[in-house]
Parts: sequence; structure tokens; C-alpha cells
Amino acid sequence: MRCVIIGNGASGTHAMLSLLTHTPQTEVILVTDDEPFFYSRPEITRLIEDPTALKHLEMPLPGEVQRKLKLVHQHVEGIDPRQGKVYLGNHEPLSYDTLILSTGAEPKPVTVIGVPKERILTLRTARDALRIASFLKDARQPVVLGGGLIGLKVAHTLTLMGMPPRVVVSSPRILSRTLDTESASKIQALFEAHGVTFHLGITLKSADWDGKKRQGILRTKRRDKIPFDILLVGKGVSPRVKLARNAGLLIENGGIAVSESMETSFPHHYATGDCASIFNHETGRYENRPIWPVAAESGRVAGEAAAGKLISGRRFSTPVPRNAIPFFSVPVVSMGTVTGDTLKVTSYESANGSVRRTFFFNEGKLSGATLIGDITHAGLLFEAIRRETRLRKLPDWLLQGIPSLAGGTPPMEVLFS
Amino acid sequence: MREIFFIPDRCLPGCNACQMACVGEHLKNKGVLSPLAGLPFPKKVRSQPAENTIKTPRPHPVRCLHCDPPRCVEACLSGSLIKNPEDGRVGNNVEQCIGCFMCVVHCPFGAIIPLPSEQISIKCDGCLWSKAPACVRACPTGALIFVEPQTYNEKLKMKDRFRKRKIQPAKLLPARV
Ligand SMILES: Cc1cc2nc3c(=O)[nH]c(=O)nc-3n(C[C@H](O)[C@H](O)[C@H](O)COP(=O)(O)OP(=O)(O)OC[C@H]3O[C@@H](n4cnc5c(N)ncnc54)[C@H](O)[C@@H]3O)c2cc1C
Ligand code: SF4
Ligand code: SF4
Ligand code: SF4
Repeated sequence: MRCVIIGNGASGTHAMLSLLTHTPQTEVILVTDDEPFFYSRPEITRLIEDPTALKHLEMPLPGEVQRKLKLVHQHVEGIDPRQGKVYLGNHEPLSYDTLILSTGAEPKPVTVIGVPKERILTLRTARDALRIASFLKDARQPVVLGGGLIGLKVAHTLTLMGMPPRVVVSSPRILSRTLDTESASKIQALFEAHGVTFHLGITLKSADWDGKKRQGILRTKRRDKIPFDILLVGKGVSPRVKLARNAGLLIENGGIAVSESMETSFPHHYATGDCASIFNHETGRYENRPIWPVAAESGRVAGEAAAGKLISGRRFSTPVPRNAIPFFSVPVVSMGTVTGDTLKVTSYESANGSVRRTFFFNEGKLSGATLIGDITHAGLLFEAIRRETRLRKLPDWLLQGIPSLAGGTPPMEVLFS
Repeated sequence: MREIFFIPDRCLPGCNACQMACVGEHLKNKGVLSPLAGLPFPKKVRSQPAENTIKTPRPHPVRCLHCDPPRCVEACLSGSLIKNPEDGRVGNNVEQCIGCFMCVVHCPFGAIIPLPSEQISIKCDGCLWSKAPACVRACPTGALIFVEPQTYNEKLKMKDRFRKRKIQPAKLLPARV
């Protein structure tokens, strides 16, 4: 059997690993137009700081896998699911028995009237990060567009480099989809203490650009003026579905529609990671969740399904949103649904204000949590959110993050009995 | 896959040999004496081969179930968590860890401890890089044993049956690995 995987991100890599583990005799061909090796995408902000760090981002693969894998460094122009063919630039088409699409996502294009195109930089690949690094060499006033996790990650990196940026956010607050209002303002204060300036609730109108001085001024609807010399975009992404759409695969909610075993509308064609919308039988909807753990898990599931080895205990677990990220050594965790007017909120803040733990309930069931400064029991909480556990009263040890006597998290039965 | 089991009635309170052995095992020079002498421990165990001293001791819990599929490994952003394909033990290659704590969120058993100040997370790795767990090897009374779960269950059942006959249950479990 020959399996072609398009994309070597988290999901493509995990699909390849699980396929080769379960059926070592399969011929696996991985096609990518990114770097011809495996690296961690969330870590690319490190390249902005230190362009030589690329080798540290490389993820190690077992020697066995390295020997068996065939890597083709090409852009895929099209696929033909009926004939089982993948068309590469100026190469012979590749034929396959099974195809796994792991084409990921790409940043939504951003244009600001008046700003030259090359001064608006997006961040998705190692190459993008290196490009930003080269532009930053003679930049003085970087501006980050977007107050989400990626925007803040970029702002964090720039601050560590001694170049705290201005962050322009269209919503009235930062992290509007990840954190509740109070927790977000805590993180905002943390960034401000390190010299970052926030411009919230901004709609950009246009910009004046001085080509000689290589400086410009952003103009907003509220008539603010924000000076800049480079714009770094850290906004949302859209799934890369061009190949699938042209081939006639079903698209739902922006991504390639897949079942819980990652199968698309064509048999023997799978889609994984950021480019897929996974069917959630609890909500009855297709959900596109562009985060790493979903990408990695869906890749593993697709690999096992393609190998014919997917058993019920190893199916895709959940597309529930979650993320963890440390800012200036303060750990931040967000899990489940944390915004919405109908949610009931319980929160705890430590006396010195360094810790804030907020819990969200929907009709008595735990639906989400945000933890700042102290992430004790995060794993148990995520499991409780995933299972929509009904809690009559939130125990103090969970609220305040008190470790059990033995020093860790109490056994799960405590919550789920 | 063999797992570590703890038999509380065999454990000597205050002995702590297992904890010492665990720290020792995770030092570059594998010296059990350095934790005893209160010497500083290495900061990032496998990342600074030239220097084997760290400032603060780290806890090493015996809680990881070495799951299959391991959610922590799938969530790990840097590829530092790995599952040994041969014996299934899950370990953290702290050299590579970036301290993002995605693994902490994904372990339902709380087996991973975040260390924000060191920007790493630590977990029991089943002493992945050596033949048998150091804590088990160090335990002088056999309170920690490293056996197949099936063996353990069978012995437990026997233990139950013999309890009524007043035979010392601890004797029925293997004394050492
Ligand atoms: C800066 C940054 C920070 C992030 N931080 C986090 C975080 O903290 N936590 C988190 O959970 N997630 C984070 N993410 C998101 C996470 O990186 C993605 O969810 C994950 O990488 C998705 O993996 P994937 O395999 O689905 O897609 P990708 O990693 O995008 O891989 C897709 C691959 O397909 C290739 N490809 C696409 N089309 C073609 C074609 N036609 N021909 C050939 N090759 C093609 C691409 O070159 C690419 O290599 C971050 C992302 C970025 C950019
Ligand atoms: S750390 Fe947790 S999730 Fe990972 S293998 Fe151990 S018990 Fe399982
Ligand atoms: S904290 Fe370290 S081990 Fe845990 S997910 Fe992040 S990089 Fe991996
Ligand atoms: S098995 Fe190894 S890592 Fe785990 S607690 Fe014992 S000594 Fe420590």
C-alpha cells in the first residue's frame, strides 16, 4: 500500500508516525513545501529572537522512521481523488492508495491602505519568522496587529528582545476569546509593566508612509495616530482547503469535513489538523479547532484509521478548546467555554494578586476555566470540563489550587464519583 | 508493560530512600550522595552536561500511568515528551522542553509538575534511560515493586484469600524486582 501525506506539520508528522508504527510495510511519501524536516510551529517565535535556533526547533524522529520515510520537497498543485493522483509542480504525478491531507492553515491576509505590502508581515512558517528577524534589524517602532494568543506571543518575544511593541487590537480587550475580562486585564497589566502599549477597540482606516525615512503613521477611525515602521500580524488563520475544494471534497465550517475517524467525503481520503473540520457528535456540528493537540491527535487517529487499526478506545477524544502559555514566567491556561453571558462564574484571587483562578458553569456543569499564576490541577480540571462534570460545590482545593497531602492532584474518582 | 506498585504496609516512614534515588538518578553523575549531602542539584538535568549542580531540589512523583495513547505526548509542543516504543514508558527529555505546560493541561492524573521558574515541566519517566526504576531499586523493604499489572492483581487476590488465614500478606508479593 502506498500512502501520500501532504504537509509536515504536527498532524502530518503524527499521521506518518502512527502509520509507520502500525503498518511498517506501508510506503509513506510525505510531500511538503515547508522546510524539508520536522519543526515545532508554535516555537518559531524563538527564531525572531535568534535566527540560528532553527536546529533547536527540529523534532527528533526515531531512526527506524527516518529510514523508511520518503520526503518530497515540492508544492502540491492538485489532487485527483478518483484516479488517486497527486500533481506536483514540474514533476511526474504521484499515485496513491490512501491520501492524508494535513495542509494546515494560513494567516488571513491583512491590508492597510497606504502601507507597502512588504511592511506587513505574517507569521506561520520558519521562513516567515526569519523574514521578520531580518526586518527587525533596522526597525525601531514595531506594531503588532491582534491581541490574541499569537499576537501576544509575538509581543512577548519582542519585549524580551528589548523592543516592547505597540499592540493594536480591534476588540475592546485582549484575549477576548481565550480569557474572561478580569484575567485578561491582569495579563494586559503584566505586559504594560514590561513596556508594551495597547490600543484597544481600534478600527484601522489608513496609514501615511514615508518611503525615505521608512516610517509611517497608522490612522484609526477614532482619529488616533500610531507611529510604526513595521506591522506584524498575529490575527486568525483560515484553513488551507484549496486542494480539497478543487477536488470536490465536502467543506464545512471553512475546513475539510471529516468524521470522527478523520475520513473525508471520499473513502481512503483523510484530513487532519488545522485544515479539517471534525464532526462532533455531541453538538452535531463540524468544528474547526486550529490548535496543536487537536492537530497531533487527529493525525494519530488518521494514521491508525488508514492502517485499519483504529479501535474504539483510541478514537479522537475532543475538540474542546484549550491552551497553555507562559508570559514572563507567569503560566496562563484557558480551557473550555469561558465567554458568554449565560455562564455562572466563580473565581479566586490570591491576597497578593499574583494568582487568579476562574471557573465557568453552564447549567450546573463545569464548562470552562482560566488559570493565571497557578495552574495546579489543570489536568484534572480539563478532564472535568471535557466530561461536563456536574459539581454541586467547587471544593476549595480545586478553587485555590491546593495540592493534595501527597503533593499532587487527588485521584480522579474524587470528582467523578 | 511492567508498572511500579506501592505497598504501603511495607514502607518505612521517614526512609525516603526512593526519593533520594530518584533525584540521584536524574543527576548527570547519578550520585546518590549529593542529595544526601545537601549539595545543589543540576538545574536542567540533561541540558548542562558540564555542570551538575542545581539550586532547588525537584519532586519526582510516582503517578504517571504511561498511558497509551499518551495525551501528554500528543500535546507536547516541542517534542520533548516521548513514549519509548519498546516498553511504553513515557519520559520528558528536558533538554528540549520549553515549559509551555500543554502537557500539564492534558494529563488527567496530574502526573506532570510545572516548574515555571525553570521553564520546564517534570514527571516520573519510569527511569526511561536505565534498566529499572531507581526508586524501586533503592527501596530496602520492597514496598515499591516493578511488575506486570496482571502479576500484581493475581498476588492481590491471593492476599485477599490468605488474609482470612492470617498469613502475612506482604510475604506473598515479590520481595525485589
Ligand atoms: C506562531 C504560532 C504560535 C502557535 N502557538 C500555539 C500554541 O501555543 N498552542 C497551540 O495549541 N497551538 C499553537 N499554534 C497553532 C499550531 O501551530 C497549529 O495548530 C499546528 O501547527 C497545526 O498543525 P497542522 O499539521 O495541522 O498544520 P501546519 O503545521 O500548518 O502544517 C501544514 C503543512 O502543510 C504544508 N502544505 C500546505 N499546503 C501544501 C501544498 N499544497 N503542497 C505542499 N505542502 C503543503 C505546509 O507547508 C505545512 O508544512 C501556533 C501557531 C503559530 C503560527
Ligand atoms: S503524564 Fe499523564 S497523560 Fe502522560 S502518560 Fe503519564 S499519566 Fe498518561
Ligand atoms: S512543558 Fe515541556 S514537556 Fe510539557 S508540553 Fe511543553 S515542551 Fe512538552
Ligand atoms: S521510576 Fe524513576 S523517575 Fe519515576 S519516581 Fe522512580 S526513580 Fe523517579
